Amino acid sequence: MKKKHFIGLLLILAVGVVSSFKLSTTGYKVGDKATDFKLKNIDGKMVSLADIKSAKGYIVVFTCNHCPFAKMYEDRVIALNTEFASKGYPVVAINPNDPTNQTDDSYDNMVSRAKEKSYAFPYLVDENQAVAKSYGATNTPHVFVLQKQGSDLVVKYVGAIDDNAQDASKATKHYVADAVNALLSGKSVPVDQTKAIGCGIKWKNS
Amino acid sequence: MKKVLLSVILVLGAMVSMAQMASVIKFPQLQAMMKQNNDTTYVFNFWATWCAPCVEEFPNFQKISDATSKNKVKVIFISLDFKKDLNKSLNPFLKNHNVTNSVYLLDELDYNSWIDKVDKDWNGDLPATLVINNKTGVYKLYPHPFTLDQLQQTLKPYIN
Repeated sequence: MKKKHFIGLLLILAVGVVSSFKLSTTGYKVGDKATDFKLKNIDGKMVSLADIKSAKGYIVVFTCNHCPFAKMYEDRVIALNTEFASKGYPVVAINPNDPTNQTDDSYDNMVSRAKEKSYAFPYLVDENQAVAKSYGATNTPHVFVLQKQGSDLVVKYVGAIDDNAQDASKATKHYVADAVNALLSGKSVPVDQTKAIGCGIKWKNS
Repeated sequence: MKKVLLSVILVLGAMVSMAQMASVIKFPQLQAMMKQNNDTTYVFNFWATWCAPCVEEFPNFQKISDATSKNKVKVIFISLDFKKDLNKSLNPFLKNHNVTNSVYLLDELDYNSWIDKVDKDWNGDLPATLVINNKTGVYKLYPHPFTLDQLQQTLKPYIN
């Protein structure tokens, strides 16, 4: 009997380990409910999604300073905010990278980059990388479009910004803009999932 | 006649210095290379000059390639540098590193149109290394950097 209990306990533990592993590696899928967070902004203040009260949803962008893809997409992230913040979908940028080996991605450098380019949206530091992990972000840039539904934040799009990293003018599929426009007009998102293209997130050595 | 000779020399000279330059390809050309059916094991290393871990592991692939008979294991570098950086970054890098392997610049910016055809679980992160032997049915993508030791261990079954 005791042995049985022990084996049962082992099984429960094993299942727990496997499922938590799965959760941490897969992250959010379209239709999942996202969790809000509280992270430090470039002005030193803590920011949560809930702080932006007028929002109908959010364009959460995991990005950083150093990555060539993040750099190429920077102006497009700014443009997304310009276009959609006033319509209720502001950009919230998060840098998840460990700056140890990428000093470009340090908090100080985030502050100066945001100033240089006059970011009109929060640029948050995910210092312990917990938000990137729970969302399942793997790359920079990696976008999650969230829609407020009552008190829930529902994931409506996950992936890349568009289909041409190098040249915005040659992009033919504008995944994020199309997703937000669809949500704004009460339609379903045409392409709700792509692979985010860019640099792998620099995880801390644990 | 002299002129002809001169231009022949010029062309030949250009060809020699072209040896370490990357050719620009599209995905179907890569697919054709991936389908070669012979006794050789092909190692495609996806990388870019702007990717620090790629640059770090690059010499390991050169070493393994130099140490192995080209008939058994052939290392092919697939650069995802941007086409505009071909002569600015990629070719100078190849020259500096005395690269003798085949190097191609894969000019396919819409990653979502092709990365699934390499491996459905790959999200295009660099570096990634694809080992293929169509005769023995080997097809495996390693989406991480390699140390020389890891690379030797991984390729051991195909070298002997």
